[in-house]
Amino acid sequence: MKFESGSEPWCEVMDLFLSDYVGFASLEDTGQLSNNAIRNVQVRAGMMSTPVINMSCSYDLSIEEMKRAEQSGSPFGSQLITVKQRYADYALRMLVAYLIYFGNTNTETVGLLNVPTSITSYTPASMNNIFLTNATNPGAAQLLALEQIIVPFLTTVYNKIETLKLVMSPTCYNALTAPYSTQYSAEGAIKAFLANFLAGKTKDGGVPNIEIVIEPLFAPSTMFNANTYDYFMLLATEMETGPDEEKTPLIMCGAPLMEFVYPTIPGAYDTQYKFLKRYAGIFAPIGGQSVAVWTGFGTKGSGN
Amino acid sequence: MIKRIGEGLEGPVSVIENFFSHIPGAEENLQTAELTVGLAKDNRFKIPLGALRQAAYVGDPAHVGDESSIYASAEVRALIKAKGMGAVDTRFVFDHSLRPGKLGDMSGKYRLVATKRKDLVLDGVLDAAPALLAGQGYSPWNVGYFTKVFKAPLLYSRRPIW
Repeated sequence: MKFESGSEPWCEVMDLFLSDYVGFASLEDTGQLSNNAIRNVQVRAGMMSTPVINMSCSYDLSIEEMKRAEQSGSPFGSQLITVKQRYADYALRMLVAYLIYFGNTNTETVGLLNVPTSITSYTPASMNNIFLTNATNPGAAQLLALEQIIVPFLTTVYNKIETLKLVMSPTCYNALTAPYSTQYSAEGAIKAFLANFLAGKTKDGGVPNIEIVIEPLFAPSTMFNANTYDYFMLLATEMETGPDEEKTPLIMCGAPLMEFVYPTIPGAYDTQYKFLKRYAGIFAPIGGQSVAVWTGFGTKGSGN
Repeated sequence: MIKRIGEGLEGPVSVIENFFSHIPGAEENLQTAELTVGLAKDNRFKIPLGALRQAAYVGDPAHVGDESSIYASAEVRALIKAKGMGAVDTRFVFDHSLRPGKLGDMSGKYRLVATKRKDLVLDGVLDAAPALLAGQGYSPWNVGYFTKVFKAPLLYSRRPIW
């Protein structure tokens, strides 16, 4: 999705005005008196606001470490000092990744899973269950299941989206590689889905883009997702809108400042460095039409 | 890891902490690190004003102008092209003119200024250092130094007379 920094890196709240996201064309009879007057575009007054979270991580580099890093020639003498910096950055990036997906209700930080009004619990057999139990046509059953959730999503947005993203747990992806049918074709469901979907062309002759993201954060029974089921997410990140068909981002990730290092003061013994990331949250002005989430699509836990 | 967590953010941070506790390298390298997470409006987690004035961005494309906007002489540009950014000295200067172009938008970007790197041995000792040494070698009580004082008697005063 699109990272938006806004115009002020030090803001405390990020706002998105919603007026850009309203309006549609209508056909009317010119003969009707009521339609002769020019109509104003309906502007919806409204604003999405998310408070900014400051997150920083510091690390110290002592003179001893710096000097040891300078030594060259001996494989034992030199020591990489970048490891500390990279771990500090890693910690902050993981925190941002967690907030992007799961959000945080206490600080009103919206995550992708909070965008739809409700998360659909997928009741038919999960992909993993089909893979384990359907011996003859696992892929065909999976393909049908996959299309049954994707087609309504695409129809709602009139296929106007630029790229469709499928975010799934590793369990789900692995199950989807099961053969289509033991008798007819050994192609996996995911491959058949891609081939079928890309068979059609968009109005300007191009084929729609599909991106598959295998996301370990959605895997079941982990520290990120304590549930026994996994998450499956469909994302429509950009859409062509307006008279000029400009690409309008439907999901934006508000982050005023992602890479910042405080000016350092070299110390007598050690120098403290501090990384800063400023993150606000997900802005999805059209809500559930751009993000749809299912639970238990890949697996429902305990071998299902 | 030492933590300072703002109100309402304990949940996400404990998840991340749990994750890093399973990585031995992280635990070792981050044992003296301090993780600070809090809302920007919370006074305890505000950015110190001094840091804002002397910002040091690291590769954030949203705030740093792209390569074409680097301030550098033709010689330095050629050097960047031949040897990459590692061969030159760089620093950031805030530039209001690098704004998105909307009327009334006073935001800007940090422009990278690149200068030729002085070679520590060749440029430093052979070129600049002797000149500095020569200047320091003349003590104020040296007659040669005082000729300047006779020509401009108020040289030592704080008044800018020239």
